[in-house]
Amino acid sequence: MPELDPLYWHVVRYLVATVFAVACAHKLSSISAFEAVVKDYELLPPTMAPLAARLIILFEISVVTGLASGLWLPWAATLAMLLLALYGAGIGINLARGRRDIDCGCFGPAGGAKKGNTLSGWLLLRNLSLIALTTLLFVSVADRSLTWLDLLTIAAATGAGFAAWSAADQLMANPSRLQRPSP
Amino acid sequence: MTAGLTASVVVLWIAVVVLAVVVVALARQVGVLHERVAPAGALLMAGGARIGEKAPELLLKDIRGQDVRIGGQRNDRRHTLLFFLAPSCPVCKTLLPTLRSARESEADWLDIVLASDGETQEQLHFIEREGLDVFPYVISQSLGVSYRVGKLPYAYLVDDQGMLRTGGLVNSREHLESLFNAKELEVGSVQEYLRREQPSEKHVA
Repeated sequence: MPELDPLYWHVVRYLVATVFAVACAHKLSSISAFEAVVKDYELLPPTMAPLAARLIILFEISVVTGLASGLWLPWAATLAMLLLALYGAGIGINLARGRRDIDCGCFGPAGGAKKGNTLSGWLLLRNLSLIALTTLLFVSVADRSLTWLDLLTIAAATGAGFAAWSAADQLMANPSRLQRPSP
Repeated sequence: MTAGLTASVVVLWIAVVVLAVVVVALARQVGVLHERVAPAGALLMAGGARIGEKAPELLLKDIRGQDVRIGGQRNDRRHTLLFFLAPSCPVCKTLLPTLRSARESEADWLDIVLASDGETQEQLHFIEREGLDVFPYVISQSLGVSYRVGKLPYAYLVDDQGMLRTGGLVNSREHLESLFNAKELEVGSVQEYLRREQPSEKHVA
């Protein structure tokens, strides 16, 4: 079985970690807003929302520390994929219910604590692509030492990848920023 | 050779990161513009038919000789968009693709009727050239007079009760779409919307 060059592996690892770190930081900075979002998804009894919101944040912190430190990496990667699948399911169910106008609660770079994205099929695609990317972390990696150029590539590719993620997030959030006159 | 390749990779990465940051900045700028754009609306001209009142009711024939009823109560709960245009009006032409897409996207509640006046032959050429045969096309001076249309392109939305819901001078796609928004929000014109919004204006800088 062909082995993956460690360069790809590291880029994916840090990219997924960064995405989760930013989302988690936004959620931490406004837990009450995040609780409201969980409630708004209407998947749980409203009284469970505060607990669910805190659990999700806890899981996200575990993902970030696991991926960044490399200590419990397979567990962290699995948890990351499960969380993304869970978000995807929540979005999918609400899209199927026809509730496009609720806040997706993605707390991505564009949204922050402000009302960001509303739901769309693009979010599902986004989550699926991130899950696909995370599966790369389970592929066996070739053993080679990293040079300074590799480190530069890892840092730059992670940065550029995150910037592309942010730009996509922003572009998805833009349509809902159009001033829809409120009735 | 290796040193050259290394340097080139470094330079390329710097370029990629800089460009990625620029893309993010541009996407944010687009977001800011989205926030600042006030909802464009059709401008209601003085002297036009009165919004909120009963629309003038007319039974006319379209260019193919079929009956077209404008105004009056409708039992099928459909609204009518009355779009006044002329072959000689360049702005009207730019709105035709929007009309065509609105005909499909709003098909469940809206009929679109094109209205014009002038020489029939010229109108027929216009219909053929622009592919307007999917719309009822009425040539009638009395229609324009009874709706008091002074400038083109002008549009009115007549609801299923025969009331004039909204209308105005439409110069762009946004204006035309604002008529549909206005219907959803039950606002008669851009002026009325702005009057309503003023007390709670919330522009994000």
